[in-house]
Amino acid sequence: MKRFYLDFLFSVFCLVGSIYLWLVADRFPKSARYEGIDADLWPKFLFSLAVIFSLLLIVQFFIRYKIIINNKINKEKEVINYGKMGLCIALIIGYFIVQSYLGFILTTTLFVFLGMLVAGYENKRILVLYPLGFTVFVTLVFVKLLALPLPRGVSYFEDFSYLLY
Amino acid sequence: MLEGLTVGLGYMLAHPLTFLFVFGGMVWGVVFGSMPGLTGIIGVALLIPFTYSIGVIESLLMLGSVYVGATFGGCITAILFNTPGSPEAACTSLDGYPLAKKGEGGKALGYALASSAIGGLIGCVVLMLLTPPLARLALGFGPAEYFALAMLGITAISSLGSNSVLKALLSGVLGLAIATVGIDPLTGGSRFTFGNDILLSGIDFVPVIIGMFAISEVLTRFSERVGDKKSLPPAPQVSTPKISWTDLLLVKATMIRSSIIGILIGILPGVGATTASFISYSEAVRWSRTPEKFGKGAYEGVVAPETANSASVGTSLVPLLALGIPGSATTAVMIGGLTIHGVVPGPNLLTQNQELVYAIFIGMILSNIVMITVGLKAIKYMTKILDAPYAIIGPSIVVLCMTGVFALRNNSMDIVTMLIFGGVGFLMRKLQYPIAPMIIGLVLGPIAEVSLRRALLMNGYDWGALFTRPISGLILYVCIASLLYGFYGQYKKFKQSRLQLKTAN
Repeated sequence: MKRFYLDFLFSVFCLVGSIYLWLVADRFPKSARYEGIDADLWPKFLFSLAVIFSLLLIVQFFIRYKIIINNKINKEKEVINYGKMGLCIALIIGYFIVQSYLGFILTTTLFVFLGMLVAGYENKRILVLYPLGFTVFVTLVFVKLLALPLPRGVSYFEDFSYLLY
Repeated sequence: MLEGLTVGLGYMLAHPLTFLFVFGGMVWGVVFGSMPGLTGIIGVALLIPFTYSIGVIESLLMLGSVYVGATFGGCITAILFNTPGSPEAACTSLDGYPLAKKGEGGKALGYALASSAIGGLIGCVVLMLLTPPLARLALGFGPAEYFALAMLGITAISSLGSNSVLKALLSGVLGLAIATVGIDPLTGGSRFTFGNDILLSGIDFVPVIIGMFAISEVLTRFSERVGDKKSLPPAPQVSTPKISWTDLLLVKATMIRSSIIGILIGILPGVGATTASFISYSEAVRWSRTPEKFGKGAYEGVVAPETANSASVGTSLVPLLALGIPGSATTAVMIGGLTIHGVVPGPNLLTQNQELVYAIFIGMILSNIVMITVGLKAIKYMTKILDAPYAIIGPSIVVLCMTGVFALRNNSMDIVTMLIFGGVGFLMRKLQYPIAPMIIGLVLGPIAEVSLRRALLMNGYDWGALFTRPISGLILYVCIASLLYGFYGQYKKFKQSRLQLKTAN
């Protein structure tokens, strides 16, 4: 049932968001040259449609809700591992933020290692060797072969990165 | 033409190294195509400086091969890991990955390879035979026709929402709305940037696609409950990428339709393989007798985008060679390879430099044949990666996506965009909102908006004029009929489910 209510909340969010963005579009600067096909024409048309569809989804929710209550239908239970998912999100965001401080090589090695650990990988030798090998491979491909830039980090980490690539 | 072909073939046979350039370009292209964030455009652009030292024909053969290879390469990771290597392959993920999850990844890759090769060959033959008349046809397309074409792709959204047409439509409208962020293409004013300069350049669709598909997939896999086991479930096994002629005959209608779509979209300047693959996918759903199978693992869902994007590669060279106008972003970069050698593309090229033009034609055909060999090898090695546990693959995909997306424009904001849309994609999956309509909206949004506004400007703000022009009118009526049919199907489904409930009670 959790997803059912979340679905409703999402429709309400879309409805409110669309009305707000319609009003934002209405305040776009007007151009005399393009009167009739101004910058707000297309966005306002789209957000009007979004309002209609969100409203219809909300109506549909109430109809379905009535059916579910009347017929005592029990929706399938959600099977989500929230802990693992939360850790995964934290790791990805952390990887992105820390990369600019510690540089690509250190952060990537650490991220892949922790990612494998969170996912429940148990082979200790691969757990240590794979993150190192993969990071070296990606660095070689991007820096040496393609000459594309990778984050170097700051301070000591930046100096360290210059030793490697 | 026969004379030109003989001249072109004669040059290639006299310079056997040209074959090596075709092969090398193909390998380079497949590698670039299959790595998320590294597109064919980057692959071509990185090779341009190397073309200084080689002849103009060799350069163009190599760059053409990279283009063909990259267009195909994207589908490998799209099918195996739900991580489209290139934007052209985003659509292939929609059915390719569900097939891989069912253990039919090998067959899906086989279909993708065969349809890419067939689509590519058809596109090349059309390029060879019809370059001048097709270029004239492309010039006849006005804003009204471009708008109608974009609508054709967007309205098929209603058929894509197997669970809810309304959710599919809302998802599509949100995609179209996201495409409006940034500078207005006509007035130059900023829209929905909220004072943030970074948003002025708009939301690039490559990070969005990678986020919606790859990052949301990693989040989904990590959030799966796997009973008492601590580790994630193993990746699905991949069958051998072999398909028979009988398999291909089953999807012949989709192939023919998608080739035509790819050819037509390819010759239109500024509209590339990505648009071709999405419109072709939408049409495959619209024409299918079992549209409910799409998105859950339909072979036609792999064949349609792959045939169309490969067919459009050949014909995207039509406006380049015949008019000097690039048909796609990659061909725009390829102009660099021509100008380095002092060659000016345009109508005179066909008459003054027959050897070059026909060598390109032959080279493009050869590329598609070479693609089968290189593709099979690439598939063989890439599928081996699937033998590894997802606990290893998942973090590696995140690293490749982040690095690839950063390399696109050296912009950290692209990574932020990718992560945000990764979260949005995850939420949409959980709430059963189809992702495809949002991506279709995002890809076709700019074309639809600019074409509509230009068409209105040219026709004195008369909306009716869109329906009175023969081509645009016909396409728009098909769109309306398709939408109404989608709603009717949904209403019928709703009535049926209520009836079933009543009888059950």
